[in-house]
Amino acid sequence: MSDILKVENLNYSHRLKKILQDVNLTLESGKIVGLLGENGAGKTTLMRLITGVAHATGDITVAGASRIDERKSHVSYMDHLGAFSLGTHLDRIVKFYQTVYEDFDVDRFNELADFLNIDLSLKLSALSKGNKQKFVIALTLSRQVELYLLDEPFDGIDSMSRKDIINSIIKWKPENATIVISDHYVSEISSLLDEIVVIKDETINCNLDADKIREDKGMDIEDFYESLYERGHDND
Amino acid sequence: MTSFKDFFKILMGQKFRQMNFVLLINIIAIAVSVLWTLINGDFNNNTFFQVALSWSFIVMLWAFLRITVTHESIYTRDSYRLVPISDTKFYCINLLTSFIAMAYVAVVEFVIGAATAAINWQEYVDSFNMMRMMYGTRVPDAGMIVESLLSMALVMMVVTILAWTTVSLIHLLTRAGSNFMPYRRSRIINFVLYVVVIYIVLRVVGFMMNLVMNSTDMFGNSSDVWHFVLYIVGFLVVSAIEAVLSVYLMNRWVETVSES
Amino acid sequence: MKFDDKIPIYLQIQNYLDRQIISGELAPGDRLPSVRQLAVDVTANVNTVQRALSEMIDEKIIVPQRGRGNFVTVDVDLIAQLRLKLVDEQFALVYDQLRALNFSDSEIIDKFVEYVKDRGALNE
Repeated sequence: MSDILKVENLNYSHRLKKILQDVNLTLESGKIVGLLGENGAGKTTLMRLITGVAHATGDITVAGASRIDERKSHVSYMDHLGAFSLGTHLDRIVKFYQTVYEDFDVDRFNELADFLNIDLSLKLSALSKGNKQKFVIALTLSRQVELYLLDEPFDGIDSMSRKDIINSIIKWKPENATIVISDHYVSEISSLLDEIVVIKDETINCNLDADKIREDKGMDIEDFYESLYERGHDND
Repeated sequence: MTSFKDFFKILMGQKFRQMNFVLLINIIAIAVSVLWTLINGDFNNNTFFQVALSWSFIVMLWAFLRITVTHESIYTRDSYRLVPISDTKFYCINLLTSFIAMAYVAVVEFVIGAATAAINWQEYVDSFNMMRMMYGTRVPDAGMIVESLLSMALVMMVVTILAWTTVSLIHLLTRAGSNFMPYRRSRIINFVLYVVVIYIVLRVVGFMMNLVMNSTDMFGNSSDVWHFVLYIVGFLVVSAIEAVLSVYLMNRWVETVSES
Repeated sequence: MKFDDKIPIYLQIQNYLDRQIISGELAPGDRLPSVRQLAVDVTANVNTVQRALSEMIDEKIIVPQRGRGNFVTVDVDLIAQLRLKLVDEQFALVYDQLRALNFSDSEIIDKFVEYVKDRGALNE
């Protein structure tokens, strides 16, 4: 397996506040990775930096590309569609994606939309939070790229839809692509993960194989994740 | 990577749709105004032209503001900034599509003006000829009118471009600068930052324009055609400098609005 | 499929497939669903399913055929062994728990014989 993502010595501050410090992270291709951390720990920031819609010092390489515009053609990041007015019909947004991304696979999108029960004749304003999230995920997964970044994909989603989304991730993930899923609630996705990456104290706390945690420590992922915070309290 | 053509198609389509909406409202406004004059009994052959002309200024201004808002929001929205395209192409396509959209409105306004003027054309021609008979060469002839209209259009175009490059520079400078301001009282700080940036940019641009004017003045007297061309070129050079700075800012400092 | 998150997922998948083979749901010589289909069936990652299958291939319970997929072994002895292994595992669980509650070996045997009789009577 080759490295799909390489982050080296990444430092990022926003409005005089340090958000990420000395972040180093390497991910292999073909994995499903859980990016864990408290709210505001910097999960979204890390994803935005990898994609290139925010800037930091340090080096980021995705599938061999380090220039921002090239990197963008290898990463599919969840776009929350803020640029579109609420009156926009979903099929127009699909057209937008189809035009703007060479790697957008319409057939795959239609399958996903069908599977997730998305009605494309609706307007953006007619979507519930969960349905909008499903639409965004379908768009994100329909690009054919090496790296997918899903930022809190289960936010605002009921348990039935969550199952559908998890299944669509399993079903439609290209074999060699890596998917990073951020979540602050681990147990809903833990069976899906190859590895976990924990962001804590402004940096990568650990990057471990999920089954190895279970095997070596006899712990479930959530307990392990919580133990990181307890240990932190002891040190204080 | 996304091609120039595809990204152009997307931005152009969006701005076209917005402009068509503006123009639709324009036509409705003209119709309502004409009806109003009709009801009031003030209607004459001149009404259409008068109404069209007076609305056209408002519409042009509205169109300009509408495009400017879109033009600027495109720089900071994920939907656009996630597209794999170089910042230079991104900037150029944004500017080009805004320009075409504005030109489109201007042409439509001109056509509406011409069409409504045609209703009463003979009368305008007659009064023009009358003026020329009475005042002689002090009234410009038709050729000169066309010439000055054309140069006015050219100046308008250049000024519009300069306006957008300046607004973008201010916007991007402020966004980049706000990354280095503290979290606390961010609204007030952003406001102050805007004021400071606007002041500085306008001073610098004003200084450069003066430079352009002074140096062109040295090359010839004011009636010269060359003089006019140099002015135009000078303005475009100022725009180009702003554009280069803006692209640099996009590339290094400007972040999108975080929507999650 | 519901997983116990304390136990490696690949082991649980392996266990799940072992049981299907022992119960006969997957007969000797049957072809297994594709890795991706299995992943969807049990709601796990393709890599994890692949790891479970690799372990089973190492144990020769599953035989891969190039380009055709994975097949359940036709070696009935191996399946019989697997069956015994599973019985051992189950007994080991019960035995450990009962010993922890201070039951003696003979008590456990007596109780078990009695229990099977009762259950058998119920089922008839």
